This record gives sequence, structure tokens and C-alpha cells, in this order.
Amino acid sequence: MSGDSAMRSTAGRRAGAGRGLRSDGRAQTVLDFVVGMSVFLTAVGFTFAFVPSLLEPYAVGEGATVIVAERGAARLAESSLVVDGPTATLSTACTLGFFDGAAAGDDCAWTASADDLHAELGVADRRGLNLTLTQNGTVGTLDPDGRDGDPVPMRAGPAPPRSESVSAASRIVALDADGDGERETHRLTLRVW
Amino acid sequence: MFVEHRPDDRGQAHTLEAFTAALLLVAGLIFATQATAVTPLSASTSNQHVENQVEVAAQDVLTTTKASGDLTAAVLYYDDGFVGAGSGGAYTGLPDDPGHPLRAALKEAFDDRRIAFNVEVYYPDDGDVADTTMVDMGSPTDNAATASTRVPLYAADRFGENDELVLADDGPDEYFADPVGGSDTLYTVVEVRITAWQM
Repeated sequence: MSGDSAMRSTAGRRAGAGRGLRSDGRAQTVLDFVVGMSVFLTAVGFTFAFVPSLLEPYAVGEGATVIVAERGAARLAESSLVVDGPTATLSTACTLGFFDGAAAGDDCAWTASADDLHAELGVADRRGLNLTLTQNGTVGTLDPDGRDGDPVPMRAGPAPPRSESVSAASRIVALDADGDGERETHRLTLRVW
Repeated sequence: MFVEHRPDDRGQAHTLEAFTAALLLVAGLIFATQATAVTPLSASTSNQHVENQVEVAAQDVLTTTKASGDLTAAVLYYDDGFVGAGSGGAYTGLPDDPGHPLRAALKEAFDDRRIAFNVEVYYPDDGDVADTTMVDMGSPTDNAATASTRVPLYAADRFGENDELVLADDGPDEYFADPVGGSDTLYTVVEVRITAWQM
């Protein structure tokens, strides 16, 4: 009942609109609706557009490459290039054979050389892989001792693309690269995209 | 003013309501970003992957240097404070001495990456555990990672700047850790702990 009377009273006032400011109590009703709804809808749109980026760190797509990189680096540093003994202490002979593209033998734990990183790490071919062993930021080299040939750079796989998101995982490894009998500290980095 | 308020005098109530609703939504969003630890807006120092990488690097440094004997050498590089550390007895960063056994590993793993680290040595002390600091770069952040390993020290091991001291003879007076006793070969077992964090 009170609603009816309110509507009637509004209609009555609207009929006399323009006569004076005080007579029309509701002033900018239509404009008010437009502004109000647009502010509200903009806020709703912003919120919904922002929420997916909130979940980005947990998204499966990118997380998968991080895990592949971590597991791949762990496999290389803990079993593939290690003969026996503690993890992350690499065998010079096995590392040389691995990067030199030698055939797999019984002496080393790896089954495919650096030429076929995907097979060694069990990663699908559509993923990109890049492996480097660096010291002070530069890729290290191994001398093929007792054989002729150029030093073997410890690098495998194509350069990572600039247009894609690349995940990287590093391990600190000890490797005797210069053949002086003492192992130097290197950084093994696997990049996955 | 409210005395004169009548049902018809609604003015810009809808706009106000919309602003209130929008404010609630945005405030909820801001609260959510602040409440969760990992968001695209939070600093990369709290990223889980970064933490994992720092932890595995610390573990690798300990594993490789323990295997090569450098870790033991670094623990024994002690003469009334770690050698070359100055009056504090602890290095305040990467050890300056280019021949320091741990320098190469710590440089490659942390210093080149601008990752801060503390190295502490824990040792048994009269039924308790005491510790001395080898590298002190300040207080770790909430997102620091730690790794530790145990190193046995033998009575015949030599320590000091030029290995001029022997643990069995000079250890009780000169070395930070006292002998555990019970054996003539084993002097003590210390735990080396690295705490590393992204600055």
C-alpha cells in the first residue's frame, strides 16, 4: 500500500517537473542508473579479468616446464653423468662421452648422448631442451684427452626462443674439466620450453 | 538533514550503491592478493621455484665440497677465528682469500647470483650443541632455504692458517670445538649448515 502511494506521488510530482527544483525529489534517476550500473559492471569485469592471473603461479601449463626442468637437471646431476659416489660429482669420462655424442656404453649411466636429450630425459619431442655446463657464466669445454680433435663445449640443444616462456633449473656440480685431477665447481643448467 | 529525508529524495543513491559494491569487490581482490603467499604481484623472492633452486644449490655445494674434502678443509681453516675473517672471526661475505677451499663453490652457487648466505658450524659441546659462524651475511628472510651435512674431524687432522696445528694436541685449547672423547681417532663431528636466501 505504501508503495502504491509512493508511486502515485512520484507520478504526480513528475507531471509537474520543471516547475521548480524542490518539486522533483528524484532528480537524476535515469542518469543515476546508467552511472551506477556502469561503475558496478566495470568493477565486476575487472575482478573477473584479474582472477585468472591470480591463479597463474598454480597454472598447469607453465608449472609443467618448471617440473620437467628440475627433474631433468636432477637426473643429469644425480645419475646420468655420475659413475658412483656422491651426487653432483660428475665423471669426466662420462661427461665427455655424453657431450661428444659417443655411443652409450656400460661404463656410464646415460643411455642417449647429448645429441638426443629428449630420449635421455624422457621428455616429449615437442618440448624444447637446452643444457649447458657453465663456470663463471661461460660454457665450459672438455678436452678429448688422448684423442685428436677440438675441445668439446658442454652445451646441448638449440638456443632458447625469445618469444616463449622458458623455465630453467640449475644444479651445482663438481667436474674436472681441465684435466688437472681436481674437480672445479660448475653450474649445470637445463632450460625447458 | 535526515529529518527531512523522504522516500522520494533518493538523489544519487544508485551511484553510491554501485561505488560501494565496486569498492567491496576491489577490496576483496586486494585482500586476496595480500593474504596468499604466492601471487603474480608478490616479489620473486617468495617464489617456490626460487626457493627450491636455492635449497638444491646449497645442498649441492655441501655434497660436492664434502666429497672433494674442501668442506673439511674450510672447517679446519681456523686459527682463533676463521683465517682471514678479521676480528669478528666470521667472514662477512664470500671469503676474500682466493685460495679458500669453499670460495669457488660459494661463488658459483650464490655470490654470482647475488644470493646471500650464512654458513654455520654446529658442534657437540658438553652434552649440548653449540655453534660458531663461518659466514655471516645478516638475518635470513622468511623465504630462506637451508641445507646441512655432517663432517667428521679426526684427531690427526691439521688446522690453522698453514696446517701447523694438530687437533689431538692443540684442539682443546685452540680449536672452537672440544673433543668428544671416547676415541683416539675421532675428534668430533660437526654439522655445517648453509642458509641461503634471495636478497
